[in-house]
Amino acid sequence: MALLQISEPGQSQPKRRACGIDLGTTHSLVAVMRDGQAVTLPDAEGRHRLPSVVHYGGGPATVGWEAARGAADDPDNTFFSIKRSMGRGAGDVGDAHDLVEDSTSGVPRFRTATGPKTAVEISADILGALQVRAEEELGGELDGAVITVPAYFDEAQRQATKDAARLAGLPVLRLINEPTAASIAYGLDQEDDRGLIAVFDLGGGTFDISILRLSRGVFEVLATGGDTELGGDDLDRVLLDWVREECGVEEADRVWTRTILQAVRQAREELSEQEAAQVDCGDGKALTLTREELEQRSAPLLGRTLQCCRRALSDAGVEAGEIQEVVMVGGVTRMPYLRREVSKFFSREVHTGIDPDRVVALGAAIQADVLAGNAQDQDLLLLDVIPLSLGIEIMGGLVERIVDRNTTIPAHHAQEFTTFKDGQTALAVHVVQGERELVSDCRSLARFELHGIPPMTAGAARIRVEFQVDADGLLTVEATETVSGARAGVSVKPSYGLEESEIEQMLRDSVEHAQEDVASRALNEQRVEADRVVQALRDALEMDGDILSDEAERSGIETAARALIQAREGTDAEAIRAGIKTLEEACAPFVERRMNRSIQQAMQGRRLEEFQEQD
Amino acid sequence: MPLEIPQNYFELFQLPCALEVDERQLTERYRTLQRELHPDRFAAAGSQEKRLAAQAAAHVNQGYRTLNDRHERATYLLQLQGVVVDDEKDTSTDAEFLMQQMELREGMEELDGLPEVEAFGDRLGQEAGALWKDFDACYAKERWPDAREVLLKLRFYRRLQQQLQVRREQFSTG
Repeated sequence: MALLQISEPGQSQPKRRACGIDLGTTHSLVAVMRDGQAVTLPDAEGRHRLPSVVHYGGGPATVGWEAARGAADDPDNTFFSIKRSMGRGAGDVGDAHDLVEDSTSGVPRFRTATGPKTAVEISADILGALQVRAEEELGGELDGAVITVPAYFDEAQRQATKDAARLAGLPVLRLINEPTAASIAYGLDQEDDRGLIAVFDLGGGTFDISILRLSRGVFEVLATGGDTELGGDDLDRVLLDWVREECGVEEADRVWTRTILQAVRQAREELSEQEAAQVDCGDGKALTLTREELEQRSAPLLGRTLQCCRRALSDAGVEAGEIQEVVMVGGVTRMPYLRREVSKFFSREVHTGIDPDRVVALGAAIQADVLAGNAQDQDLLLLDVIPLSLGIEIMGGLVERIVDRNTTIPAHHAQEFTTFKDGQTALAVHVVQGERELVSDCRSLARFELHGIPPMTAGAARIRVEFQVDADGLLTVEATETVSGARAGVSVKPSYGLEESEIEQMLRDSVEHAQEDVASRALNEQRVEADRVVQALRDALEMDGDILSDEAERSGIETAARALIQAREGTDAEAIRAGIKTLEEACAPFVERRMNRSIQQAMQGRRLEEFQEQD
Repeated sequence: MPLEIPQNYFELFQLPCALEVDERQLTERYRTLQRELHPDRFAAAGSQEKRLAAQAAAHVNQGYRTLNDRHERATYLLQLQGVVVDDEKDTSTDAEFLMQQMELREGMEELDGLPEVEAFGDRLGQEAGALWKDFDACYAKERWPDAREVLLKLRFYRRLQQQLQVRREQFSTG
């Protein structure tokens, strides 16, 4: 067992530093595990919520309360609700800010006093502020974070979130869906089997409904639905219209609009506790907003949430009456009216036991702890789904669906297509997402071409298109012509996603990460990865060393491991990367045998359970 | 796939190869498999292991999805016998049946009110139930083309039931 000599014997693995981040539309939070309990972390003033507001005044960005305070004075350089622009094109980001023309990838860039900024960069600044908070609490650099996204986020929005984490230098363990995170925070309090639950999540900018089945630590999402453009922000806009009507304002500038939006939000939040609230309209004018007025004006928007619930239930194949628990998440669910309506819909009292603002971050922290490997005795497994169907464009601008919405991930689906012209040697593949039949009604995700198809008569070629969705919900598509073996594939880079080169450029450009920082960050990333690979190998050999086929295999692996450990002590990131690759190649047959052993154990595990059932 | 995982979904879930499956057992076994094979279980492992785990978990997911739905299960049973049923293109050729379907469709459009919707739903359920019995009988006697024809008819009922659900929602929301 020569390799084990490399490790320090008798030392238990140190706890990994992991956190959960709720990157919200209006507020964001970070949580960690402390003494076995998930807790959200406050700032120096004791405030847990960080407003998702960033100000670019020419110098370094300011984030949170400070940025929000100065917003009305400098609306052009202050960004609210940036989450709504994630993964979106210029036509979908509203007119609150001016855009800078010149975009190579189609990602809109907002004009600021600090230079052009994309939604991804702005989100990265919010993540950065939360990261600092977590690192102070945990006493060192983070090993990994779980970041939550709305369940109804599409591919482009998820990818943008991952890119933001990368810009912030935050290692992502997993993106998980907000309602699923909330259900973890609730679910772990209970030992028994709680059956079917619904999570109703109405936040600042997005609405999600998820139907889950809980069984002894397995959280199985049966269906999810929602609206990524429905939240507290939209209620505020309705109230803004009300103020304009009441005050007779025809044309509103950005400063006035920003001031009123903040005033109506405050009033709206107060109305969860009281019957009437004052809206300060500036110039000494104030309006009284009653709870009744608020309810009347928000009813159409809130009615849309119940429609989503209906569809999610029908997708899950369950009736509203079968739901045993209803969990309310997101600040807007404090509204008594909404609680009443949701209670009525499911015919049961809704759960509001955990602070609806914090519950998502708490669940994310629990999952981060499990994924980081700190809680191996914890029997927690998430089986989540994709929210929207994935397909490709076929003749006539129609969509051929390949992966249906609410398919459990990871997923791998394949379908065969053929050519429609004699002698056709290339095929354009257009990947889309959505439920509609026409390509023009769906969201375009990516385009790529398959070349080198040998000329054949129309319909003779066999082109296999494979869709793989990983556990983060991100897609890879590959097309192969099965006669010739011609291949083409893409890790889907959404149409409004950043190019790899742009992300690298941003890393270089940002003030905090000068050239040497980029290099040292790359070195550090490779070192962390090398440590992870070596540690994983040690664990594997300790557990399953007996399935090494012979001494030659063992010594091959050990040689590669030693070379990697040596490279890791150096300062050449590329050498470490190469060392990891060599070690992985040396391990490949062993890894495969191990996985087959896991499969065998999983199959036998079932038999064991059957015996128990018969007892 | 280099993984030694049963490709046949019934073998994967260790269930008898038949139209009727014990759904409780299927779900229980699905969870057990995912508890061992899901990529989250390999979060600390190397990238190869993660990739293999994702492959295995995707296969288990697809198997569960197939066996957990009666139509999918029936299609899969025939596929194992080399009989292909294409959801999009194939359709029943029984003229009398198609006439009857048209009448059912018209009947559905004339429904007025929830009680009528429910009564109509019961009728669809009974007729589909009888067809499922036919399918089972054809399958047992290895009359594959007949089984395929029955399955194509059942697709009509599935579509009708989906459309009926839409009507039900229209009536229940006013």
